[in-house]
Amino acid sequence: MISFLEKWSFFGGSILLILIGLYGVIAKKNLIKILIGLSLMDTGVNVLLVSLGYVNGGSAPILTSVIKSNSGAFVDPIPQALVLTAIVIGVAILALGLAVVIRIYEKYGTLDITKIRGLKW
Amino acid sequence: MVNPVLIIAVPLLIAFLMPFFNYIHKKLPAFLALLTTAFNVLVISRNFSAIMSNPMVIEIGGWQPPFAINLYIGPLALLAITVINVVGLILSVYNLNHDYEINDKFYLLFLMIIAGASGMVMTGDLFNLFVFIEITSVAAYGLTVFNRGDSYEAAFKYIIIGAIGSVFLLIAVGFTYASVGTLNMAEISHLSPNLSPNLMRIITLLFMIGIGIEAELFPLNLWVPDVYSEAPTSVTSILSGAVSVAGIYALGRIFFTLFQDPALFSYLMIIGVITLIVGELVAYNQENIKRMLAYSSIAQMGLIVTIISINTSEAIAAGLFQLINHSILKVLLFISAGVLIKAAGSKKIEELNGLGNKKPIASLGFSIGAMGILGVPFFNGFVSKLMLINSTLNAEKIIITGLILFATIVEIAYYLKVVQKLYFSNRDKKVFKTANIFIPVLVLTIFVFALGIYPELITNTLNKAASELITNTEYITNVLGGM
Amino acid sequence: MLINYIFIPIIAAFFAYLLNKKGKYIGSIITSLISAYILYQLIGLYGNWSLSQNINLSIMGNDLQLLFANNPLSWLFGIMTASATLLISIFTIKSQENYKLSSAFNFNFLILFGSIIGVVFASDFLSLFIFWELMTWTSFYIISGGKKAMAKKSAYRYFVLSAVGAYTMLMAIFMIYSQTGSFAIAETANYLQGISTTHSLTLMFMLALPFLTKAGLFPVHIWVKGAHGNAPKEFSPFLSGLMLKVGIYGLMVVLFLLPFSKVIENTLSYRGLSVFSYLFALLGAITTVTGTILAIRQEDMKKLIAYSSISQMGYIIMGIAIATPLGLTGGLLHMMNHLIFKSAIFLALAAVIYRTGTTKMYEMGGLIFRMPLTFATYLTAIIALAGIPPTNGFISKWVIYQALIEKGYLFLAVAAFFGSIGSFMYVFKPLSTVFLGQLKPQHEKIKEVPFLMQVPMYILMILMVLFGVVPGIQMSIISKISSFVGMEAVNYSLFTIEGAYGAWNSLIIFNIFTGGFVLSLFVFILARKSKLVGLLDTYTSGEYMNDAEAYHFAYQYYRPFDRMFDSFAAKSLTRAYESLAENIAKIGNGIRKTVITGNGQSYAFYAILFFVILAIAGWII
Repeated sequence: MISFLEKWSFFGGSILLILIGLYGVIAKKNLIKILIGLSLMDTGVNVLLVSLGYVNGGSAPILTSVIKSNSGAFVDPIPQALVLTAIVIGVAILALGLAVVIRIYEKYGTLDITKIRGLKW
Repeated sequence: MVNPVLIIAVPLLIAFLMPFFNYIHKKLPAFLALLTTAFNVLVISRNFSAIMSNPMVIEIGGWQPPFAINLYIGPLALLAITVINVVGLILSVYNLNHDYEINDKFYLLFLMIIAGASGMVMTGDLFNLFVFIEITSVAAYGLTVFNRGDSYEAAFKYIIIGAIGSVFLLIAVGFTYASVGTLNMAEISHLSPNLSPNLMRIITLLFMIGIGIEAELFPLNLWVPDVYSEAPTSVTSILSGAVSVAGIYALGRIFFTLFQDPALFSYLMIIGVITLIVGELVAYNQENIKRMLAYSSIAQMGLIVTIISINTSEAIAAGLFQLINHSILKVLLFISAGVLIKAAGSKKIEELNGLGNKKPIASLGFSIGAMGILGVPFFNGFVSKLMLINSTLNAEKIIITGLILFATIVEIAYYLKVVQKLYFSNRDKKVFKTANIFIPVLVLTIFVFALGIYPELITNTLNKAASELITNTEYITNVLGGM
Repeated sequence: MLINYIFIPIIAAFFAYLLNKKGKYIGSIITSLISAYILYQLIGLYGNWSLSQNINLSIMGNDLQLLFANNPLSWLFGIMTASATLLISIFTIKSQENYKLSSAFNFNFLILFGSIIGVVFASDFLSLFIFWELMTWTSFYIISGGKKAMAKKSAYRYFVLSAVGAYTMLMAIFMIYSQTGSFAIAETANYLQGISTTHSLTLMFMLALPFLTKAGLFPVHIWVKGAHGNAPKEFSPFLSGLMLKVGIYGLMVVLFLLPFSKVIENTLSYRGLSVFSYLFALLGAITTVTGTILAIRQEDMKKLIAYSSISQMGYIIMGIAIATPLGLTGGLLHMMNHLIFKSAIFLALAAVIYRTGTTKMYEMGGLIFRMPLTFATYLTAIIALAGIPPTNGFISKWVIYQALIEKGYLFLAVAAFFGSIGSFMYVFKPLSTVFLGQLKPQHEKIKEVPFLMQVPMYILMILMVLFGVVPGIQMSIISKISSFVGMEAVNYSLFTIEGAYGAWNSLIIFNIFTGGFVLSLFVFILARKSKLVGLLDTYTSGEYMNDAEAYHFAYQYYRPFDRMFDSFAAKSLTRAYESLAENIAKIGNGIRKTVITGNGQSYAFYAILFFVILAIAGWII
């Protein structure tokens, strides 16, 4: 049980985070809540990516005076690089989204997405 | 031999220095944007013949692939880059005298979107592709809101859909890395036949959703009508003319070079046909001219995806030709439509009557664009349409041909209504003053007729690009050097 | 050199457009000069039957050859086109002085002229298609420029209907190309004889569809009324006289050059003719009857003549489709004659519209007193249309009747006779309501049309009588065409034609007619003249007469006849097509309202749903 949890909790947790974020984006009516859901989805994906690179018993991929070569005891560094970039991109999108929400609030006076339906068909 | 990395680097540099230039002089950003895009076109033309004979591989930072990120520019990428940057140049000229309020930050985002689209096309690494897709998308989100009014709502919808797409893309990249162990495109295409088919299918599907949002497949393209109709005219043109080209390029790379699965081509064809038919049928009822043109864009993208998914060399060449023609014609259409909207004061088609005499250049531009898309002989759309039909019939897909021709008839129905209204009605309402768009319309018309009367100008490039896309062995050997 | 005749008008069109902006007459003058020049050159091509020209293109590694060749059929059509363009452009020099869009008219007209020359001289299907498309586009623009309110909508319907046909042909052309590797007509003929009958018949019907549409045959005749009635008044003669004939040219290419008869040798036949050829002839018969009945009901003179045109097209197709020497000769004769007399009718009507400003017949009357030359032209033309000697219409109708009776096609012959009687009824209606009867007070001051507009009418009148007296001129080219398409020719000489049951000697008949005419002229001159009185100057038992309208019987002229066919005319084919288009539009509307609701969250939901569906489908398959 524990080993099963150990193996799959990362993936399961990240998928769960993604699904919660998705629920927030699709079902919630408040614009801010939608953006929070989006942010949750980003976080979930980042967790998924990092956990894909985990090597059992490995440590941080930094050469120090103790560990002098890549002796196979490192966690995979590439997903970590990917995640760093992805976090930055997520923050940028969130900031842009919030700026747009501020403008929407100024124009329409409400944060309810069902009331903002000028463009249809 | 100028280093093509400058095509991405220089616009990014100038973009981020824009506030500084704005502080020096108010008009400087517009001219600098023009100079930068002209510089890009110059770099491409310098490298053109060299790349045609030998695809260029540039390693960033001096590290060797597959450990490093490399850029790969073959004939296909060359074609896409030329289209993106020439469209950017024409739109920078258009931006010099425009109809709406823009400031230096507009030019910042404009240069960023050109750099992002160029990067998307030139890259040889999967994560780099993701980063450039995000750069392009964020710049597009920002550019959409420049028109005050309903554009906030459109931008918000775009942000929601685009962010979900980027999540899917990131999951796909993660799964690819976990299964293949590398992110270099050449290495992935080398190792991908070893994957289990189910896993490959899921990864390709995730990629299709992520990139399909840029390439406008149904039902991922529902943001397109809102954004295209509410954004400023030059933003719509660059999205329709340049970003969609990059989107189709990325889609082509995923399906042809990276993961070649024959069953998925039939999915792509069905999705393409559905996009085409839905786009045309919905465009017929529109009252707002920019929305109508947006649906027409969606339909053309569906057509191109359908043709490319037939997976023969002549079909891909025909699809690429249609893509190039679509960019030229759509930019022409959107620019003319922008002037007509400003002149009439409203976006509704009913209000556009009789503008043929008052605004001759814009009406002529719109008519030439409409006739090009419909396929009048001696226009470029005719040649690409004939090539399309030839390639689908050679592949024995008779029903697809029938559907394409049916879609063309619906297109004729809604475009001709507008052309007739422009020229053959009388106008008794006020006509507002608009900007002068003579030079962009002239340049684009010259392209239209040159490609229509003498298509041999680019057939050589198209053939090479098509053969590059179909067989990925050359790609692998060029990058990995026989490893 | 044939290519020059196509591209000279196209390039001259740009000059005509620009120069016409300076002065209103220059565009029409340029058109007349160019068409005169090309007519002169084409006449010089007579006899040069082996002239051909290629353009070699190479697209995407495929070598394309566009072939153009001169043969008797193409030559005849080229001459017809050039002469019709010449006559109409002379007419338009004066009649378009107040027309706002005259520059665009001349521009499109010249390109139209060049593209029709391209269509008839093309020897492979691709160049035929290219010029066919150009022809449809330019005529669309010309028709849209008409002054009436329905002009745009009729032009739009015309175009969509033509486009359906043209794209069907495109698909057939490329299906044949993918199998044979060439577009040439000769290669297509070889290929079609080698494959199964159903397949080749389908391909040939697909190839024939745009030609059927352009010729205005049932059931794709619905664009004709709108396009003719609403086009600019100078363009209606061209539409009716020439553009319907280009459809006939295409049908002749399909029926004779791709040997229809050889392909269907072993299919059913009816009295010696295969059922599929008979189908075309039957369509022609139905068109004749329909056109006649609907023409009699019209109140607008241009629409009346439009319906008359399609019923005459029915005659021509009946003659051509039955594929006998007499039938082919009769069809071709009627085609040339129809061009002449229909253009004369339309030009006379255009002259009347030019002077009175209206097209409704019940608003006019008694114009014989003011426009005698126009009256004379119209009278000669309707005598030709009704088929009375010594005009040319009689000869062509006589040959067609002979052809139908010789083979015993009873239904077709009855339809032809019905059309003939009906045609006299409907052409008499404008004569009586417009020219005869009482002159309306508001038309007291109008004069005859200017000289430049009279010239084409003179020329056409002379031609009608000339071809009626000397049919040998027409027969010489028609016999060449007969041998070109592989059918034996009909015997003829300068004044006679040999039919199935005897010969027709026009010289004798002409002499008899002239004698009779001179005799009655004597009687008329020697007799007492009638006395003209004013319209309102009559005795009416003490009432005062104020309303000139009541004295002119013009509205609902043939009411008893119309009543017989009221239920027939109520079933409108136009409404069937309209409802088809509306249903397609409704599907689009339905998709719009359900899918594209404007709710951003549902868009995101669709993306997720899409992924789930495709993943499940991929897992199962």
